[in-house]
Amino acid sequence: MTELHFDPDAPLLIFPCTIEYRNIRRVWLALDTGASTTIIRESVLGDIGYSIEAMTEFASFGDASTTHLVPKVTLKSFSLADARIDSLEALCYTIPEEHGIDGVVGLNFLRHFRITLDFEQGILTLDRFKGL
Amino acid sequence: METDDVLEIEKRYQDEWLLFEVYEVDKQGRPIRGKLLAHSPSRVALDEFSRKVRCHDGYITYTGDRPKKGMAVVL
Repeated sequence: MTELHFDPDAPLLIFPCTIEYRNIRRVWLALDTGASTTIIRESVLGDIGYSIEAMTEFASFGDASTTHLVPKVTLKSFSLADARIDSLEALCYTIPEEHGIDGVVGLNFLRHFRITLDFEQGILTLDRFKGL
Repeated sequence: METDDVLEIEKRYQDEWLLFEVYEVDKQGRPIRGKLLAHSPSRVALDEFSRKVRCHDGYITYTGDRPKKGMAVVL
């Protein structure tokens, strides 16, 4: 089981994540149960070995105001702390610098776990479902 | 650039983006020891540097408010 502390009053719940393809980048992503798919900043995907110009797979996603057609990649692995999923799909998008993060952790990762967000204690727990 | 405790280095550069080469992580994969490769208030500048260096295991962090104070975020 993974257990992480967070600030219950913070405007975003951000956690240390590790993404891996040819290289590894450890970045901070916001937990977002409203996002279908994990989204990673374009430059970070470049850092781990993807050629943005050569990407041929695309996916459509909608945010609060409009829809976008963006590149889609399959990471070798994605971890939130020590909770790891291999071969996770992620979308490539630009994240505003002012957010101070490199993307969001979406449902395609979160649904592998029993998740508890304790806003009284400020503790996130992830317990992986057996058989997934 | 400095090689040391990652958290100690982060305290020296407030409101900046930092790029480390990671040497050691804790049980949850969080970097604890590394070499600071670059720091800048501008993420664009950090990304430009990052494209030019070879770093297999890197850590990127921002040492200011996330998001900036007073900003509400809908992702």
